[in-house]
Amino acid sequence: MRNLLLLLSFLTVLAALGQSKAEVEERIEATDFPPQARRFAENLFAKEKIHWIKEQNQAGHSYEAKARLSGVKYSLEFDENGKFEDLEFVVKSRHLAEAVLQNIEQELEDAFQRFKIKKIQEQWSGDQAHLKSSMQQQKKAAALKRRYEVEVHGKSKGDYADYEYLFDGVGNFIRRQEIQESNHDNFFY
Amino acid sequence: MRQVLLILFLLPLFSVAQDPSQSGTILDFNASQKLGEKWSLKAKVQSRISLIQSENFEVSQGKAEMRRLDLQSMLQRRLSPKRVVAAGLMHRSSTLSNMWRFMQQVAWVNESFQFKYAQRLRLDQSLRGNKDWEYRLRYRLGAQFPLSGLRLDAEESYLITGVEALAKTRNQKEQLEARATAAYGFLFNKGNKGEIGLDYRLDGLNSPIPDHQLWVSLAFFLK
Repeated sequence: MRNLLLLLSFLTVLAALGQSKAEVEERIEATDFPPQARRFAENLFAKEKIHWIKEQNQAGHSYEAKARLSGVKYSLEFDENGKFEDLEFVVKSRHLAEAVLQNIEQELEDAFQRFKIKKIQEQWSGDQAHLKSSMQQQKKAAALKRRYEVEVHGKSKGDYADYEYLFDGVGNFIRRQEIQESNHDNFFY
Repeated sequence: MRQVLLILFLLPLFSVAQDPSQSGTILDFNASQKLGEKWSLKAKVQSRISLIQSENFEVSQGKAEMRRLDLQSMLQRRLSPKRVVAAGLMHRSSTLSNMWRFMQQVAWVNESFQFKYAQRLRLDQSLRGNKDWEYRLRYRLGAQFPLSGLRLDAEESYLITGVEALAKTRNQKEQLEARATAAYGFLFNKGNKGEIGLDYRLDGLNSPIPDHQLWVSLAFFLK
């Protein structure tokens, strides 16, 4: 009984600590999504199951609609007013233009002693009308802006860490941030 | 609401773990050191403090006694971002006798839309005093659920639960054991984690009198 009380006390303290988070994503009902953003997502993914997500952070909140189409996972990002920001999907490095990949790899070679690209996501932003036709043809319309988000495992100053890079459409560096790598030791040991 | 879910999540462990023959606290401290891109060294110190134990059907309560101190070290190689193999050694100092254990394991983690789940397959060989070698095969399935949103970020809490099946043999005698765990965890910065929860063990599943154990576990995982 003493152990139980001790446990519950700890849980209460930890639960209180757990409230002070910087960023929260929660799954929401479609009806809670901004109407124009919902219409846009349902138009793009007419037959697919869509996951509706609201992300809250210190700056405000944003919305995300995720769906899988023809085996590709797509994520549509919207601002807090439901205005479209960009579409993201995973691509293989071999599908990037040679010059773009060279630029990205050159940036990474300069930043790290060793590195490995873990994931590349292509982002399309711009006019919504062009987006649908681009998705259907699987080719970006000229009116859409392209960016690349690249997850990298790299060794810098003798230590390894994971980073998220953002490059423009030709592979020029925009920004990077370190990823808080998850610890799986509680599963494995 | 989250707290209510948590209590509901933990309570079943109490109901299945009635009249444990052993109960107390398990303190677990884990640290990890990278040795390169793919290699890392995992160290663990675990102590078990008994508060209730029954031996020969006589129950003693209230006397806190450190029954075990385990020192464990494993060398891990990452095969991919979500898959690892590891091998290592453990030394156990206990009130009965000391023990050496050699371990080999493969483990992998998967992510679904709202949670992570992981599997671990471990083989180990134990040598205690003058006894014969004991061989064990263990399979563990665990799942971790963020309590704040869909993804676990720094300074957020989570629930973690697991079930494990163990088959062991010594001197041609086979034994089966089942374990279930549930814990409340908190992710600090830089991937460091703290967990508090319950660990229920049912040993001797194939024997006439199985051995029930219920432990309150407190664990830290530092990177």
